[in-house]
Amino acid sequence: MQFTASKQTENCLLGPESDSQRTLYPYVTGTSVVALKYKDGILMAADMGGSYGSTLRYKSVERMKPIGKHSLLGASGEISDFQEILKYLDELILYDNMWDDGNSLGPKEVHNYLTRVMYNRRNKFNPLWNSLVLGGVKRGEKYLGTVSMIGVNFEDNHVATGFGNHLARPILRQEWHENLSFEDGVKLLEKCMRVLLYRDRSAINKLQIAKITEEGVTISQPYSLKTYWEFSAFENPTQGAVGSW
Amino acid sequence: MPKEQANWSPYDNNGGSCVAVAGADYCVIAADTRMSTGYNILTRDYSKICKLADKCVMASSGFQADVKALQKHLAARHLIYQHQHNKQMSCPAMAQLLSNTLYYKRFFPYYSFNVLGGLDNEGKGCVFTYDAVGSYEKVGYSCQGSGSTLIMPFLDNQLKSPSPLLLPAQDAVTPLAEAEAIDLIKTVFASASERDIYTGDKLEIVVINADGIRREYMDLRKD
Repeated sequence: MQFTASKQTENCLLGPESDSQRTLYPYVTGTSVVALKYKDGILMAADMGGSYGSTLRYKSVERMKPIGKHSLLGASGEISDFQEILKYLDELILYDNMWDDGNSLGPKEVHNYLTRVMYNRRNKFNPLWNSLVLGGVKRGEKYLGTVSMIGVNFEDNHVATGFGNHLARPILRQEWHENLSFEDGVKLLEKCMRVLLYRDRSAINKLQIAKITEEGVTISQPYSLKTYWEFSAFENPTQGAVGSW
Repeated sequence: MPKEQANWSPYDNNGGSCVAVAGADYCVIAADTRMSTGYNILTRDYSKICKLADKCVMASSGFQADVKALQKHLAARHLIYQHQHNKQMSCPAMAQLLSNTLYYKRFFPYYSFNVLGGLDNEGKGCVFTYDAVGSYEKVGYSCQGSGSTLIMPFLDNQLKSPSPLLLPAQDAVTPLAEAEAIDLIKTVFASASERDIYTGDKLEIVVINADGIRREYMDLRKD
């Protein structure tokens, strides 16, 4: 075994420069975030798990946070990078408040700022390893957007990150419509989160649903979804497979 | 110690096709509105078309983050030009600016495949086509993006471009009327959507002529 401490971690994209500070892979990660526009604003859901590879290391990670007066940010991916982004946004909101001019940054502006930050980090080959969802309402206008770790961004009526793109978006495409009521919106989000719970191995059954309207942000207390495991195929999984492996 | 490999790519292909056709006194620029990644559709309603100047419109497909950054860069440069010269940039001027901007990042390119369309200083339609690192050419029509290999042969067949080697130089702009050109573009995208998985959802058409700029939409296959 070699115990040499190597100060030079070469990155093939950089050549001989020693820069061991760049992100190579994520360590503590959060899984999907799902969000949709409804009648009064935005609904967003995320579970509270922080995985360390295949270990479920943290079970009370808040992956959704209010930003300023008008926005709500949800993140999947590296948790420490999410915390860094919150620090950047703290400073952004602070400077915005210090103008004291009666104007405040809306969700569109915050989303644009985040897109620029993510793209810039990607340009320096040191990405913030997150997929972000930014939702909010300002002066009656609802906004819901997303930005990935390499800076790909767009807005839509419903968005999801990670596994949510594969499992939740199809459900939302089928069942979302304009002017969903709050109850219907929550039911739809819970339907998506339940599918993710069944099929995403990094999902846990402890989630929060956040709502943002013109009045402000409410993030629910953590709760669990009811699940059903009594399917006959689960009870006797090898039935009908006698003789096969 | 062997070099560590990066396990992420700074690029992604978000797909889509862009087309532009120049006429005697108009220019039509069109692109689909689908944004994809891998085998997923991210959104069905994303515009790839950006108005850079009064008579100059760009459509770009490729890596969306680079496209967005490029559009912002050019829009900012145009604003500075307007402040300094008190006039709008002409389409040929914007064409060269785009080429230079792309080549500036020759060694970490904007993964953006562009067609620039508009009216030149005499009011005649012009189309410029680019590759990702800025090599460009004035043409009568062009297409870029994931469906370009399907679309280009059809445009060649219908718009029969004269050889650029002819002397005296023959005009490449099409003699077709504006309505006919728009019809051709709709046909072209409907066909491309059949076979290219990254093209579809909706078609956005921008028409520039002496009256100004107008926008049209058409539904495409959503599968």
